[in-house]
Amino acid sequence: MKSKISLFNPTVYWKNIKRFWPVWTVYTIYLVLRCPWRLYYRVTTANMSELMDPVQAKMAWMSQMLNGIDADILILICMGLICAAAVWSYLYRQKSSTFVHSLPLRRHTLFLTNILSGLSMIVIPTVFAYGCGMLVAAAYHYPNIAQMAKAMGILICVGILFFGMASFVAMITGNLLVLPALYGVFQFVLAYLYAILEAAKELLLFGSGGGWDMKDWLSPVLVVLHRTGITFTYKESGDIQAFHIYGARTALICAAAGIVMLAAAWLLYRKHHTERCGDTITVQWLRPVIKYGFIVCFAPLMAAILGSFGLYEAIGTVTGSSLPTILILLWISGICGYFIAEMLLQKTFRVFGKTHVLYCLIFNVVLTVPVLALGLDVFGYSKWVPETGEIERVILNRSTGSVSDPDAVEQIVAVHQGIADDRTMFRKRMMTVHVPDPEEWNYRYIDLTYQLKNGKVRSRHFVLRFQDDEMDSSLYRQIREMMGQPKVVYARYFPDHFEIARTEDVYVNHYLPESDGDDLPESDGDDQEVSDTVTTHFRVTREDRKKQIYDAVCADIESGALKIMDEYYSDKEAVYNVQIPYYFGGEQEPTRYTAVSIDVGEDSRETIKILNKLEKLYNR
Amino acid sequence: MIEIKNVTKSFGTFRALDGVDMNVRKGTVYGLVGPNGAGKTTLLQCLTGVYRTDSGSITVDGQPVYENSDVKERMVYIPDELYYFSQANTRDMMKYYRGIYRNFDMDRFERLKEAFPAVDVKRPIRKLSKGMRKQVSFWLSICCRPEVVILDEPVDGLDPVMRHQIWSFLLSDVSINGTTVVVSSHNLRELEDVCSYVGIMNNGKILSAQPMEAIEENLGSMSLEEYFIQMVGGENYEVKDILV
Repeated sequence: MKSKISLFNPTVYWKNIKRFWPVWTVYTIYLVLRCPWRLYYRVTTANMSELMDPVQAKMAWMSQMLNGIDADILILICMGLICAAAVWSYLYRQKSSTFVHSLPLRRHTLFLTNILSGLSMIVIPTVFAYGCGMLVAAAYHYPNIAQMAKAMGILICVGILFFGMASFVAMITGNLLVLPALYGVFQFVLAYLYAILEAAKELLLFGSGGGWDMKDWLSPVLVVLHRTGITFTYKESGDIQAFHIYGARTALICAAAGIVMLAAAWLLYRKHHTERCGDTITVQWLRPVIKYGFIVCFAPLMAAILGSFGLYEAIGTVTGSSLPTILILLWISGICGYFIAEMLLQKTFRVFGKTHVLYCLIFNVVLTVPVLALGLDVFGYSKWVPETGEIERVILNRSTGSVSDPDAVEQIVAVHQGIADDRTMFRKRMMTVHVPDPEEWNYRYIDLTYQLKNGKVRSRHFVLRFQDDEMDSSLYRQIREMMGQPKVVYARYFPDHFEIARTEDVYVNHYLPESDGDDLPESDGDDQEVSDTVTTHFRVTREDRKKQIYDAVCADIESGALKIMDEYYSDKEAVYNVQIPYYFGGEQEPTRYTAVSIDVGEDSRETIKILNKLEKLYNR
Repeated sequence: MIEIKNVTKSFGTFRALDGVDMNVRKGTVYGLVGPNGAGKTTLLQCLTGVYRTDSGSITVDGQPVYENSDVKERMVYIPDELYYFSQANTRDMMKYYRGIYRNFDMDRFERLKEAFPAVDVKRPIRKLSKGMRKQVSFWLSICCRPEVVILDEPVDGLDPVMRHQIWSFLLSDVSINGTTVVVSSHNLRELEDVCSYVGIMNNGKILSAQPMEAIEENLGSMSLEEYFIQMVGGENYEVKDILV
């Protein structure tokens, strides 16, 4: 006779809800205070008749309340863990595990009932609090109530993700103390590994690095915090016109990911071995994965810490090069990491058996391979130079604008080729453990991002060390010429999406020689401010005058008079600094606000002429 | 009724059960004896579906036990180390059992109150003595009207009166309702009184499984304890030599 399939057991469900009442009660109180109570308190304590605009005030209160969604998400991260720890707590003690698994309950019944109990502790308080919030909002005529429902939906989806993650982790470990640690590690481990990889590339691979952006999708916490929230649109008066909760799509993806994690948790629970209660890792095949994963994460971190304690220089003075120095530090850290991982897994300090020593040595040899591959550039990463014909555009030194002019692109590729040709020398210099005074070197930083015609993007970042006697070399000259190229200079200052028609008021700073500071004119109205430094400021509001400045800047760039003014490519001081705030985006993407900042040297005659003229006009 | 065939179970490299075969007939009390580490508790936990066996089969009336709630509903297991929810009292646990076991007999629970007068049903179980906790466990288990009762060191911590009383209840159930009892114990004297079958375990194997009468016939001048020591090969050294 086949057993009747029951997916849910109300006794287990209610037992969970009753046993862990403090968890959901505290969470409910928090949400009620944050949402309905806050809306109610504000509207009932404010003197509405004295408010300039009651609708605007309610808009502000509602948006303030919804602005706290980030705090709710942070609380949810903890709630996911606490609820999972509560409903799966029986797995962490032999007695409780034996008791529960000897009952006439199938594992799928137990699993589903526990999942529903845990989710109920998260979802029901959220629905209750936000439901009450919506009732209060409706009763007191708050605007935009639909956004509250959206915020509630996002919180529920995020709750599913974190509870799913915590449940998955709960199936991996048999120790309640390990659960929060592993849960925390799971939140950031991919982002951390990505950071390690980028740091290793930057350290070992000539042409790599130059800073990198954290990919927030590698961390559930970051993705949720970065991609959900509230945006505002304002009236010209500065009042809030509307607010909008964004991130619904992200939340749905989170919920889907949470369900996938729960499915993975079920697969592990089906095979869960009751006798493994108390083990750090209960899933046999995951033990080596977690052990070696731990070493891969731990060894570079420990190597970096040891290096920062002076061991990098100490070993480097003996080896002379960074590659063997890094390898030695990594081996020391790898050996430590191996035995620490083994101690954590076996919960004993007695792990120094012959077998472990052998495995440890083998793993360290394996760990050496990718380091050597990067350090010796076996894949020819630094040799690669694109053909001019395959380039769509180039972004040089992280400029906001890009260069697509064929002549300018050719010049950039020629410089890149020059660097690639001398890569052995530059790499050797990069790899030298550099103890002596760094001032004997002249550094040049070249950062190239190619957008290729086939849609791919390739980036190279070079740190070039030149000696004094190499300052007249052809490569060095080529670099200087490239940086003075009008198209490069224009791209450095003006992004591709810049439109003079979408600019705000232009601010101009005039740097005066120090001796002139005493004779500065007094402040006179809104359009002119004088500080007690040797800088005067004025603001250009008229469209035609902003256009005059822009045209003059473009003319100076085209003539080669206005160059990038920094310590490497110009020995001249800036006379003016022009700040042009502008908007971009719209229609397809949110409108964003940024500013162009241009340092104007004394050679930029056209620009200085128009700025002098405008300054006199405003001073008058 | 209970059929265990060639069951093995390992914990890492340690083989706790090594090809165990065992048959328990309906309405009998089967005693499982063996030295510490023989595999008795492991076998009982496989029998109750707590552990999954590595190989072999365990069936009750031809149905596998593991992940079979229909079979497990007809069984109760009282382990050596009892577990109750941290804040629960006897009444709470009764409600829990009633929700899990469809055959839970509420009348029996009420009637058995007078058999366990020392147990305050409203007092948290964690605050009861070890013996009282054991009484609660028996009380609740008997109320489930099980067809199979599996006991691991069942009367540890119980006073002689309560031991006698609990065995009386169990043996009455055996004789009236045909309940089957599998009991593991170190107390050979006690098993001698209640068991109709005895299996001797050592090193994860059943060394001998015989009716109690057959064992008694074989004893000759030996006590049951001496017979047990002979079976498991204990005391193959001179104690005094070691101590000297």
